[in-house]
Amino acid sequence: MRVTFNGKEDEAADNTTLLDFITAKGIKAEGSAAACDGDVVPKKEWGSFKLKEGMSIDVFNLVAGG
Amino acid sequence: MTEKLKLAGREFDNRLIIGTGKYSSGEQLAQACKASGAQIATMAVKRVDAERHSDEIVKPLKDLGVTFMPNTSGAKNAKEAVFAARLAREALGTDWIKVEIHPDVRYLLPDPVETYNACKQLCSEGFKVFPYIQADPVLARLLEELGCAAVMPLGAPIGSARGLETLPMLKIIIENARVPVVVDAGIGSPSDACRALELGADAVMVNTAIAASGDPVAMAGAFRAAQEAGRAGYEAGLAGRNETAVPTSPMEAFLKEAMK
Repeated sequence: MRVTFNGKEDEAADNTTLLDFITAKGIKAEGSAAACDGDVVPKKEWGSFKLKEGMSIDVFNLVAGG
Repeated sequence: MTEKLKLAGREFDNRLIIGTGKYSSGEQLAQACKASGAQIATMAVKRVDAERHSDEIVKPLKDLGVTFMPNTSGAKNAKEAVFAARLAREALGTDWIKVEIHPDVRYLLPDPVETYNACKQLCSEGFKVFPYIQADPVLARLLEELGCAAVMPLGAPIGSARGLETLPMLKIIIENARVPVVVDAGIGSPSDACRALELGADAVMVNTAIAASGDPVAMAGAFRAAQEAGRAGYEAGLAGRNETAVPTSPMEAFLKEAMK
């Protein structure tokens, strides 16, 4: 299925969870946060949160800044 | 030994809050942080860029035992700031958030209305809220009444190194505040930090003045000394200022003796 990842078009297999998707991107869960369709998804729900066709997934981490 | 800094129920031995931007590497940042003695550091929330390597900043600071104060930098309004705060809480497991909403990129001055609205929401969600604000005593009081953990009025625009341009208003904020006052932005030199603390600010936030200096680690050490001197001076109680001279020696008696 088609999804959007950090503003770019991407693909995900059916029944992919948010945790599967993020792990496959090589992103560590520690120090990261995710939002789907603009809502923050708590980390403890990543393993059960199923992605849907057309979903917009954004993953964030902490970077240097004042 | 000076009093400890108390912020949101925690105690700190050092009155610097270090911004983590503009360092040449994560290693340099960690060295400067250590040299400054700072126990609190700010950082920003950004989308992961899988294609570009970015220096890991969380781990080296965590190893130093630093308390994280993530910020909402980049937010243009209250809604975006609340979103950034929720992300930061998930990413770092902290309820501390520095609210920064500055839609104008030239001066990066904080939007008071959006900042107030974001703080209202975040306080209701249980965050420990640290708003970056203009040095406005009325706004500072309103944010204190909302339940913010501190107020962070600016000395001058972010990164400008222009020092404590807002000094008269900072003094009023410090006089009135019942929450800690952190002077944020514009601090360009150790003497600016020292002055702010001497006047009774509870802490100062410094980034560019250290990171963009000739030797960030050495400058961090200078700021450490400045914050110690400033706070110790405040606690000792500054001597009052006078418009005219006030003799420090018994001049009159000496002259009378000489004329005999």
